[in-house]
Amino acid sequence: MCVRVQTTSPQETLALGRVIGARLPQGTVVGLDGPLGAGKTWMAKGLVQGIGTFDPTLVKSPAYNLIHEYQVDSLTCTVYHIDFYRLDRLSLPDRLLFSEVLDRPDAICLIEWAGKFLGDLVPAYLSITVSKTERPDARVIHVRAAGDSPTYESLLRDLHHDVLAPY
Amino acid sequence: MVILGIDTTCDDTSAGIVANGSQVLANVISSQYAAHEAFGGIVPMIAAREHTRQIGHIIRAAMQEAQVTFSDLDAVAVSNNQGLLLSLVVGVSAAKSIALACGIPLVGIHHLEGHIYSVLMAHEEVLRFPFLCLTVAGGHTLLLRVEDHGVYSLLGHTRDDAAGEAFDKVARRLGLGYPGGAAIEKLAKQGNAAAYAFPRPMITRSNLDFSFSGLKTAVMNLLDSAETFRKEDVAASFQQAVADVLVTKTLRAAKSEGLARIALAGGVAVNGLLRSQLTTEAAKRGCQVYLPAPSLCMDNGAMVAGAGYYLLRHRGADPLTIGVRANAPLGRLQVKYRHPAKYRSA
Amino acid sequence: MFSLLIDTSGPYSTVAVAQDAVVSGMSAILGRPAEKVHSQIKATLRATGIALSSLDSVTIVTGPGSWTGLNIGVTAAKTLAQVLRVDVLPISSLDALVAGRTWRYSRLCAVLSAGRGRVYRAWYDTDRGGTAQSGHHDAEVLTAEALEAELAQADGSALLIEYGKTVGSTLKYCSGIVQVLRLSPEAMIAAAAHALPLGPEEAITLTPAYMQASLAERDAKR
Repeated sequence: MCVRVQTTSPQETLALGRVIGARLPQGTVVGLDGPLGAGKTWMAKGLVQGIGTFDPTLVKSPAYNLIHEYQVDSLTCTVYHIDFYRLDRLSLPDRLLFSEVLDRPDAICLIEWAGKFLGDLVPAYLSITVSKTERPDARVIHVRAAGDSPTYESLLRDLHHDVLAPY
Repeated sequence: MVILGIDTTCDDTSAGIVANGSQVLANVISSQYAAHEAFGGIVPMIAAREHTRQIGHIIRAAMQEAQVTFSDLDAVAVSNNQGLLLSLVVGVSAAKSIALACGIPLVGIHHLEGHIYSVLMAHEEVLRFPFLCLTVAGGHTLLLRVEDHGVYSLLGHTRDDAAGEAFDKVARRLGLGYPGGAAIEKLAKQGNAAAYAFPRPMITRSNLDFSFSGLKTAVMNLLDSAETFRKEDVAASFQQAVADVLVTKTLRAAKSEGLARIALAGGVAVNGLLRSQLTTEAAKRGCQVYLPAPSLCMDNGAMVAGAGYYLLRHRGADPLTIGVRANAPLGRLQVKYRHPAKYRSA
Repeated sequence: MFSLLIDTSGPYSTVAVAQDAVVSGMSAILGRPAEKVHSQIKATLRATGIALSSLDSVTIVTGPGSWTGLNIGVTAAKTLAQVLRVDVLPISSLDALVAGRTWRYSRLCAVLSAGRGRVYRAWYDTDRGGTAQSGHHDAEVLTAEALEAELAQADGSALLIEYGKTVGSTLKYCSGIVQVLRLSPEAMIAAAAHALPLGPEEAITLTPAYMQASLAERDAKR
């Protein structure tokens, strides 16, 4: 199952991220894909705003540091914002590094360029792909459950039913 | 006073040794030792997970270069705030072991403080407080008002991509090497900076924050389009747009803060266009620009040692139980956040 | 002979000091090795009246276990050794789980969580006196199902020893199970007796030891 959503402005894309973020339970892993400039980090800002109270200007590209941690105020959980952009391969120490973060049951993880390696690290995740269109501000967003997991299939169905259908 | 400084905030493992706060006796950075046989040959671009393997070698190499032994060290400083947690903990653990075994004080510094001190180390006689500091690097772009040792006000920061990241992403998309900044600067020399009118994001807004993802996107859109282009022109125009934004905002801050001294720090501070444009434009407004030595611009241990020298005196030593924070905004230290709305446009 | 022993692989950060293989003092703190382990070392040495300069070796658990914890501990240990110019004795957490005491089972299965329902696992036979035989030749990463199958095959002769919380409580078939939250200094001393000492030069490149996923697991992925 894949849900296709269209947005016409950056604000709408951010709002979409918020409504999805608000529905993510602790332990959720979200993969963000799309070409450079599509708006993966922008979507991450929306997601974090939906998850809880956190200054969105502090949600920045983790391309350099690889992993950013945000202590979101309204939850006793940490949001880990990860970026695989700079990784050409996943060595065993890399695997151990990321697994320690991705396996935390009380965290929510957002991974940009997920398509590169996330499938090697977790059995399933919520995949959000942002694509550009001919109109510069408009985006097409595909949401699906990657991997084989009833939990994520069910999360996707709930999202579709509760928040995505109107788009 | 001889201080060992260790920096393992992200990719590079580095140790530097500095005497009396500014005399660099050694500065060893792992990426520059990539081909060293001790590390088994070429180190891949992402070396962040090699810190544990490399730290002992790097420390020893620094001490050999400085011709000192452990008993010659008076203190050890280490970056313990801002970076990748797994990388940071390695440097901090090594620093604590040295402090414990040698019986010398330990100083933890925020990684960005290290960059600020890279400038102070080069100009300690003349750079007086307060001054403005623009720090542009791979993971950071921020404007700070430096009031005193260890006392900073954050005036503005990037809301999405750091300037260095924008350079790396554009460079990669153009098929250039890593690090992207150097590659783009080289290519730009044969290009026309006026060929493309890339956006200068947020340049007219009165606040002092930065945003480079829009500029990055504009470059990507051009490269994705059917238009033919010269890489040299794209590089030159992109570099010009980044420089324009950084210089304009910095001088706007200097004016609103009433500061005539401007420091430039971070990995992007080696960029020739940025250095010259900032210096020229600042001089027109009666401001003086202070640059660090090029070898102290990228992440390195010597700047940490320099910072440690001053902060040991002004903040005192830290206990062995000092923690490690991966994503500490400078606001958690002696920094007061300023509300952007207070600023008038230049 | 004075030795310093450090473990940051499991839930506790444990430091001990021993003289001629007898424990003189120890400190164990739940979690936070990045902050605590060095002050634990300092405090334990002071409490036992042993000077850093008297140390002859540093024993360090190099894995498996918490990746962050291991990097902190290995770096702490080998840097100390680099300054003091003493030997480093690397030991495995699984070896240390079964060392230093006698057991009533003929076979021991030591496990430690590898995340997502998998474990690092090593088997040991005990001799007639109940002491685990040193060394493990088949330490691997397994799923809980695979572990369960192995234990079923052992048919009541094996004791499962968990380091920290792992899949033990979810297993349906398990003849005996023991959960250990921290390694005892005696266990670390016993494991160190079989360790290959590294001189300070060799120890300089020491890194945490980790295990490859078992061949079966890798094949299953293809």
